[in-house]
Amino acid sequence: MLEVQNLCKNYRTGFLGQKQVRAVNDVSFSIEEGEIFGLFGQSGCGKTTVSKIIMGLLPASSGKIIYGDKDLLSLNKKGWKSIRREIQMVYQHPQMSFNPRSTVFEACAEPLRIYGLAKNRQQEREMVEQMLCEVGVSPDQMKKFPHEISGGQAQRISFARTLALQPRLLILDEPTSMLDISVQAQILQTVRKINREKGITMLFISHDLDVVHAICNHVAVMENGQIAEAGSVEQVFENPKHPYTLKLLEARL
Amino acid sequence: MENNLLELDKLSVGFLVKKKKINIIHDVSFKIAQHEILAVIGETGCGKSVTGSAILHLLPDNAVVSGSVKYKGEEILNMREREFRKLRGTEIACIPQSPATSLNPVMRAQTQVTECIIKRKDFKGKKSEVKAQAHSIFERLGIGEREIYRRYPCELSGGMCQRVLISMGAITHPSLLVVDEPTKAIDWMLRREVAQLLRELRDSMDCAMLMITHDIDVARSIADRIAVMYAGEIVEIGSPEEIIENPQHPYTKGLIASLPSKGLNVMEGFMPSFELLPSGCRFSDRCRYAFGQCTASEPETENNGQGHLVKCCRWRELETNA
Repeated sequence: MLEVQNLCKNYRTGFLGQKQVRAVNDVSFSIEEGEIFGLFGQSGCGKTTVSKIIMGLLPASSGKIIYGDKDLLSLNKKGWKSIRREIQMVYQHPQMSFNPRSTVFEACAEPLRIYGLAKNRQQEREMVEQMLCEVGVSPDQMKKFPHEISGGQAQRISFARTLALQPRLLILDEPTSMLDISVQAQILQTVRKINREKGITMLFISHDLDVVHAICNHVAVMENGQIAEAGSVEQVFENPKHPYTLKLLEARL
Repeated sequence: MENNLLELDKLSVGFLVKKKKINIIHDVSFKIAQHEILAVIGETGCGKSVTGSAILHLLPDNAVVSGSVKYKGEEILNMREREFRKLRGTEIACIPQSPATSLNPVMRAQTQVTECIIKRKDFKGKKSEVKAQAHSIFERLGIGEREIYRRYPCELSGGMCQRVLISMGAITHPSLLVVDEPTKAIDWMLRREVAQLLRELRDSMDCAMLMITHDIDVARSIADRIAVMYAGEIVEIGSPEEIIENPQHPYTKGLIASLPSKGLNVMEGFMPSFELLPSGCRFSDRCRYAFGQCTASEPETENNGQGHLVKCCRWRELETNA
């Protein structure tokens, strides 16, 4: 469904840009329809950079990202608008990804308005309510502002507003790293449910090995901007080949 | 027992908000023996850090505290600030949470660490000696290269900042360290390192620790005993094996079952707000096994014989059923 081929991202630093930092270096992987694909690695290894390039938020230095029959890296602004509806993202900090001045309802209704999905106000309200119910948030939370809701609730709501657009690919950037264990379990169950019932493909970025192990089908392990090892979860975690994967597995408490 | 370093008995903490008292910590009792690591685990906002702050006298002015906290047999809860200052930092030290925000951004690492000794009124030694002492601790923590003492916090990584904080707590050789969330927002690889560091520190300095954390894996790997906290109450205390492999309280059961490695089983609902606590057992509104008695009266803390304490009125039945 999504194929990343030889993706590179270089930054120039130092005096007159003489130094080059290879943040993402020759990364290739492919995500199949309907699976949860895990991208796993330490902080600072380039996981988030990859996701931002896929979303079109950062330009890549070289490489290709094939989605359907298009190369995402060569799309113009107009071409992105229809694609962006299909590729959505949930960010790491639950509360910081909301506009503090708009209510939960407005945050959820905004994507509907941008794409003109609701015919009138009445339908818009119904759609938002239905969305929130699907992720387990009661509709009386709609009037609240982001600072009034808990981290777990906020993360559910950010799921809800991406689901409004019926995406085909959902990028989850460490959705549970800021949450408690019991809330993490609730969120991950929701992720599984969405994946199973709606068949939405997911790219799950995480540094928590247990979480990746529990919910992903395929996984790629990243080290310093490169993919160290990729394969199915059983293959990678039960029979690791690469020394870096071994090192990570040993760090398990 | 004679060798109890710290003894909390029915400690309760409330806060006055708009002239209304909201009870947060309710009847918390536990003991820490010398050389022991007690981990307090629980969700965000369950009162773990408030317990730590109460022991350190670091609560805000609107706090109402009752009960007793004994340190080496001496009551310290109502001690005057002047006397307590002699204990805090030297006998009871703390390692605060979030390394990124706890360090002074305009002070070099070494100055911050030595400050707590040099700035004391009764300090008589030489500054260079204290510096050497700080350097030896830095070395022990694996950040011994010369430049690191001279750097500012913004030039250090998260793991390094955490170690600078640990050395700040350790430099006075305290008998009790209160460690607040040492592994929060820390990377997978570093987490293990920090856990090992704390254990080494305990062995080399012979101090006891009260470790506040929400990370069950870390608690299991370094603690001697684990206390589980829910909505301001300690619901269960026991050895790590007992708590993780054989939890008795329904809340602990739910918490352990929601670990990714234990199958991600969801515990329904959220922790109630402290203003709207259910009557009787504080967990009763989420508990699968709750019945009439649970909401009618507060359960007693019972001992199952091997130092495993449970605060639930049905744990015996649940054990036989399981």
